[in-house]
Amino acid sequence: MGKQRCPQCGNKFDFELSGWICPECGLVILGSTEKKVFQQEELRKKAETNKRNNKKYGFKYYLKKKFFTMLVSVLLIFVITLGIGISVKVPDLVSKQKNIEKDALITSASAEMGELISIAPYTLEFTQAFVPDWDILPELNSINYLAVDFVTAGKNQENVLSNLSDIAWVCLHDIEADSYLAPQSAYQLTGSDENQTALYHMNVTSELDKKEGTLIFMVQSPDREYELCIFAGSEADGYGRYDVSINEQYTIPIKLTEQRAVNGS
Amino acid sequence: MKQGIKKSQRIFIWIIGILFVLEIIVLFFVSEWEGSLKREEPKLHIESAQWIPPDENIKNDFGEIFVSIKNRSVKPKCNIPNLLFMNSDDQNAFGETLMPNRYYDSLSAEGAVDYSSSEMIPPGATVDVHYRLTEQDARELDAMIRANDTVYVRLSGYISENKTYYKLQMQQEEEK
Repeated sequence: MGKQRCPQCGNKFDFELSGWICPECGLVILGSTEKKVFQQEELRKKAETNKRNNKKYGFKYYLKKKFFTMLVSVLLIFVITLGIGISVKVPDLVSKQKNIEKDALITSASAEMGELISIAPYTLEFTQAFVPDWDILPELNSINYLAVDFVTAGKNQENVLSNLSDIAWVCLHDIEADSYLAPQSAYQLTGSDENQTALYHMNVTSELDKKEGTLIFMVQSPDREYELCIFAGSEADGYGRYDVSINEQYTIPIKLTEQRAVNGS
Repeated sequence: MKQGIKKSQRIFIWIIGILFVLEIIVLFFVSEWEGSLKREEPKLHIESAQWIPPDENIKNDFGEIFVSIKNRSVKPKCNIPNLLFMNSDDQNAFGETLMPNRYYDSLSAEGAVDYSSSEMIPPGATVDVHYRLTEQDARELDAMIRANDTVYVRLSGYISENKTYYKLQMQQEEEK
């Protein structure tokens, strides 16, 4: 059995050799005491085994700890990024809200047909206005057509996503009726797919999204006084063509020229 | 000492967790706000509103309400809005709706396509709009004048700036 400690005085001695009596304090080691001593011995052995096991499973423990640290780090990065994002977004939204609530500040300027208008980083020029006598446009009793040709330049390439229509749009002011009219798209102008495609190939558009294009307006009479209104802003809040926050307006009086041929010559 | 460090670590993790949840909630409200700003309709303001009595020489003329509407926002309003007239300035007051005389009315009548959204009120522009009264509208207006002597007009709530009501008058309007 070897030497053991006396449960009373702690003296180490061989229980069997000393006849189960402590030579120091004289305690008689009874059954219960023996059991207690045995349990203490077992606990000591268990602790030693655990210590060995901990050494054995140390890597698993390390991994668990590492995973936890990583989780906390990721959470921390999320919290910081979100915090920065929110703190940048909120002042922007507050200024947008204020812009909506206050009256629009739009600077107005007048221009002429053929004059180059600069809407940075683009330039825009309306070359001519005419009454199109094209067979592919449906004949309507109450409405006439009025077409305006334009050319644009700048970052306006067909293979580039951004173009002038992202920051500017056009409408026609019928001064007599005091009505502002939007240009019609090829789809709105014609009922058939064939004519729609033909108009599309003739660069008919409702937006300033081409290098060279033609805007077609439906008017009550071509003999009235009209002016072209160009509205420009810096950025769009949404995805629609009228989502640009406007801060500039150009007005061009319409002077009709001779009919342009269908082929554009 | 070691226990103290463990306790502060636990507090730190709790703080990060709570911050994360709070930021997610704030982010939800910020996106809702951003969405509502994108959907925001331009605010229109009635500059003047005048009742024009029917012309006795014209058959089936029941008069009209002539309104100057200004778009004070930075975006255009596509489609000329309807007008409401009522005998009370209470927000829940029942009003009669009038349709505007639109530029493309004759064209829309000619074909099946509705072109009314091609007519717009650009930012900063003021347009004069005629709201023609039908026989029933004229009766309702007459009843309102007899009952209260005052008729209020306004545009639909979501586009009317501050939901303001205007007193409709024969010569001059006054803002309430």
